Amino acid sequence: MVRVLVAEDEAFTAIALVDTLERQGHQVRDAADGADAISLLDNFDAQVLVTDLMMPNVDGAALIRHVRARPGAGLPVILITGVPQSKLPEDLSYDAYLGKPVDHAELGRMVAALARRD
Amino acid sequence: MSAIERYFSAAGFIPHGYCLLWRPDVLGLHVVSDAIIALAYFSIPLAIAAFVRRRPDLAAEHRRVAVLFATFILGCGLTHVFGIVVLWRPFYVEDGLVKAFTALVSLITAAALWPMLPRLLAIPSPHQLSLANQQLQAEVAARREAVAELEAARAGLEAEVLRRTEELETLARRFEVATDGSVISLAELDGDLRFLWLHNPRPPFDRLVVGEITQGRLGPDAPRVLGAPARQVLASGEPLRTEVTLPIGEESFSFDVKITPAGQGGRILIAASDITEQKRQQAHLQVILRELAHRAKNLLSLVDGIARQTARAEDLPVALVDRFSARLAALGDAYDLLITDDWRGVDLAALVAAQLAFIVPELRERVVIDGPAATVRPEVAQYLALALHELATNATKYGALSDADGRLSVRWSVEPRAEGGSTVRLAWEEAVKAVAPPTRTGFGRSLLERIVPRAVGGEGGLSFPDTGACWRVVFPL
Repeated sequence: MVRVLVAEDEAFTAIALVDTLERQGHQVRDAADGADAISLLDNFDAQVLVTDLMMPNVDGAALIRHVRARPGAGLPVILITGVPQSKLPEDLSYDAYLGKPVDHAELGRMVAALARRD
Repeated sequence: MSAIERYFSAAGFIPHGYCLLWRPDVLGLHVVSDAIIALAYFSIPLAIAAFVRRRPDLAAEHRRVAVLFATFILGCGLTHVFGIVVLWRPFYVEDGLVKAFTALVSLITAAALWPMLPRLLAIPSPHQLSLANQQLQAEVAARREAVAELEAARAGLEAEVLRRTEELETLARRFEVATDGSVISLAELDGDLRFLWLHNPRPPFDRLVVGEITQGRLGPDAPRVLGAPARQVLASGEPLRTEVTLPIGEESFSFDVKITPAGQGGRILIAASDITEQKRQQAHLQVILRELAHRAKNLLSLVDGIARQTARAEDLPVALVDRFSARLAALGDAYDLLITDDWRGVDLAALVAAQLAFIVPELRERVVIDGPAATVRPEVAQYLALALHELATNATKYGALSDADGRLSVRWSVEPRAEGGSTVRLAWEEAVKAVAPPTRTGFGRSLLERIVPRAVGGEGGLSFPDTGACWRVVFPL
């Protein structure tokens, strides 16, 4: 069981991710945007962060910068986005990339692998 | 009586008339003849004097000869006068002196005349002068004719110059009409890159000053992006075309620049087409395109979420949703490649690699991907992505990549078509010991045998020989 924080503003996608990860036996909390995720991180000791890039209020890039700046900066980040990997900002720090629509099986494999690494 | 008086004394002489016995007829004959001769002789020096006075162009030598000759003739005339005088008065001494004077003058004249003879002979005769005159007149006529021809030629040339000037003026007017207010700026520069001429200068070229080296007004990058290629053209003499961007402050100007040598004077012509707005539009279009692609992928994600919630509510098998989700993800991967190349097409090798990317590293060495460079159309790419995803999934579950010794090759070739364009022949071939052909026609088989061949405008077929699954598709590039 891995503690996973999902940050995704689109509701259907967020619930699908949560359902998939919970079905795989993980403990999942979801946030509607980056600001919500930052608040949750104070009370939820996530082992993996799954985040969208484009979100209202605080976007995925700002969320990742926040994560990298806080204690526990090594929190593995899986970036899920419709932006192709080749078009992402070069200074964006993430551990794995998954294009939308998400391959849920691949997401499960990535979460397991990153949790093991952690 | 002095000696001189004695010398001139006529004492003892008798007049010459005595010798003629004072015969009136003989006296008259002598008097009249001598008088006529004297008058004739006296008139000749007058004529010579008149001739010399009216011919101021005569050479000094000729004048001297004329004076001597006139003096000689005058002397001769005087001797005849004395011939009359001595008929009645015996002035024979005076008569002799006149003759002596005439003899002296005649000697001097003769002495002066003989050395002059060759030079006098060299003076053209009237006949020669007439011939020369005729020749000169012929030459003058020829020259007049030549002058007339030259005049005609000059008139022709002036007409030609006028015609060409009018043509040039017409061209210049057309050029001005065509370029005034257009996006094209034109300039001529000398070897020091001094602007000599500017036409229709678009910003920032309107900051330039003719006659000065003012590249600095085009921003800090101007010496590099504009000065360097200009010097290259000056050095090589070869025209050059380049695209330059000139950032000035917060603004940025882009130009498609053609630099051409201008004649032999070490000058260059620059034609700069302002593509700033075009660049802005392109950038804006790319932003819109990426945003649309991003939204399209988000829409696929939304569809995936709805499908999952629907399946959950309807208690549908999870495996069904996972397969559906994976197919949407395959489509999303193809979109990624399309977005990367601004929706112009997808490299076939990249498309195949993306759909096989999920294969674990230990299996990858059993996979061969081989084929020439080929860019498939966007509408073909998404269907091929679905087909390759379906084949790869089946290969890992049931085919070559599920077997310990199985192998997979994905090869394609590009062949020219007689009617133009190219054809791609792609083959997915699995090599596996035990193969179990599917017993039913599911989504995958329908996709590979019917949907994809139709969608790509080609032909295709799935077969299961003893060696394993084999899918071939042929489609126009």
